Amino acid sequence: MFNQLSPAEVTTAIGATLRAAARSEGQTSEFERDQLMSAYSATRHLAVELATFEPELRAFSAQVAEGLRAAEIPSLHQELLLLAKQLDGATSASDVGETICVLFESLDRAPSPRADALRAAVHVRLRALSDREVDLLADALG
Amino acid sequence: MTQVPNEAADNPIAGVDDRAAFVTNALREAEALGPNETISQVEQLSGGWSRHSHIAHTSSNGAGDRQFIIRVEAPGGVLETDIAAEYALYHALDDEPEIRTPRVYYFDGTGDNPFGHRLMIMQHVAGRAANAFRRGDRAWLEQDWNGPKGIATDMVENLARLHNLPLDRMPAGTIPELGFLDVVDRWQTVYEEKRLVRDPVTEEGFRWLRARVPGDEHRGIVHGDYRIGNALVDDGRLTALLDWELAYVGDVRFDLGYLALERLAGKHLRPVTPLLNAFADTDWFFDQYASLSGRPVDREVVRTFSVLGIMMLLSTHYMGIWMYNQGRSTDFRLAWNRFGAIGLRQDLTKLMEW
Repeated sequence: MFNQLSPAEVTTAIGATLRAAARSEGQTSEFERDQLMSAYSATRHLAVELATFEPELRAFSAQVAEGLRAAEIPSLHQELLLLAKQLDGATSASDVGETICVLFESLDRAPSPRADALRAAVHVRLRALSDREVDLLADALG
Repeated sequence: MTQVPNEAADNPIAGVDDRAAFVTNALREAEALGPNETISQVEQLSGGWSRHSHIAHTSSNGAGDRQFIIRVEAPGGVLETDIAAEYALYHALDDEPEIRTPRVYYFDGTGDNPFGHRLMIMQHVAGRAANAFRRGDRAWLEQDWNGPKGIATDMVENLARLHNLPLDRMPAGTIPELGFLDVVDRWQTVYEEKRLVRDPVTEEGFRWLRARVPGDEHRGIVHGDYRIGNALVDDGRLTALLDWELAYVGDVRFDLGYLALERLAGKHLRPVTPLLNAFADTDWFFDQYASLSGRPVDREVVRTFSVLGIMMLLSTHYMGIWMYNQGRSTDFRLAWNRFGAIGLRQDLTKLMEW
């Protein structure tokens, strides 16, 4: 989910590849064919992402935010509430990823058994999210 | 190796272009060409991420044609590795016939040549490299595993020999010396400088590694990218190990952890074979390696190095994506790796046992 390049940037990249192929003169080289096949592969992955990822990410964000609000770590109480609010308002995977990274940095600054437990709980959710992302793509792409 | 001036202009070889003339002169200086041999043709084979390969064909009166490989540095490549160090390692391994590498003949460290960049000229070795992502290639690798096991045996024997090579056989400073945390730092620096989006799984991966520094070190030459895709195979036997640009002196168990990655066995989203790197049973390979190297294989330490191997792959993906995004490359495959990272991230969560 926390993938480099936004869907819009990937779409632009696919377009640039197609335009380069369209403007190419002479026979298509092996390199050019590889470029087009990569672009085609990207469209397939992107189609799955656009159709299915958003609800998964929202569910993940909501679950983690709930966990932050319920975590009883007095030294981080306000910080965790703020991060939960950021997750509630996140509109992109980039925003969610940034917030989770900031959460881990906060937990590093205030180590405790409860901070470790919270970290472990978020890890479990990250693994589930990663598995879900792979399953959605693999099931659709065959 | 002596530097050969670009003699093409002063001593033109009739009927060939500047590149062919340059390679001819270089190989004659290295006494690798017979008196009647010249290079008649140079053609590009492939454009890799940090090296471009060309093949040079000889023509001679009566004798069979031969080929040589020219490896040219690609500046601004995804991996900013030192071709001079790579050449020096190949040159040192020329004296180690039990570790199969192509012989090197010539190195130009100036870049003042018709190829425009630093380069080395090496032996062309028969064989082809398997691509573990291709079903057909996995099929013939599996056939070897279920049959003569020539490929599997050669892969484990060459690795054990490499790892056991006494370091005093290599001139000091040939390749970098990196401790465990140096390698972690290297890839974390790439991630932090080149990432476009923060990935919490990647960042926790680096944190996990720093908490698992191995208590001992199995020091030796690390290939750094040891896999069947960097091995030439001919008639069921390994003929040459290639692509030494990531080699360093350090904990050799990196090569074991890296080999054990499902990615190297052809996994993009789902595993496609239970075989290690698509060519051998994992337990068999590690048992053989332990017996040949005389060093036990601690599978927990291998797990640590598998995570480090993933961090290397993710960081190079991020570097390539950054290069594409910055307009430094128009190769769409670099941008595609945005999807390649998805399976690696999942593997990371599994290895860290989240």
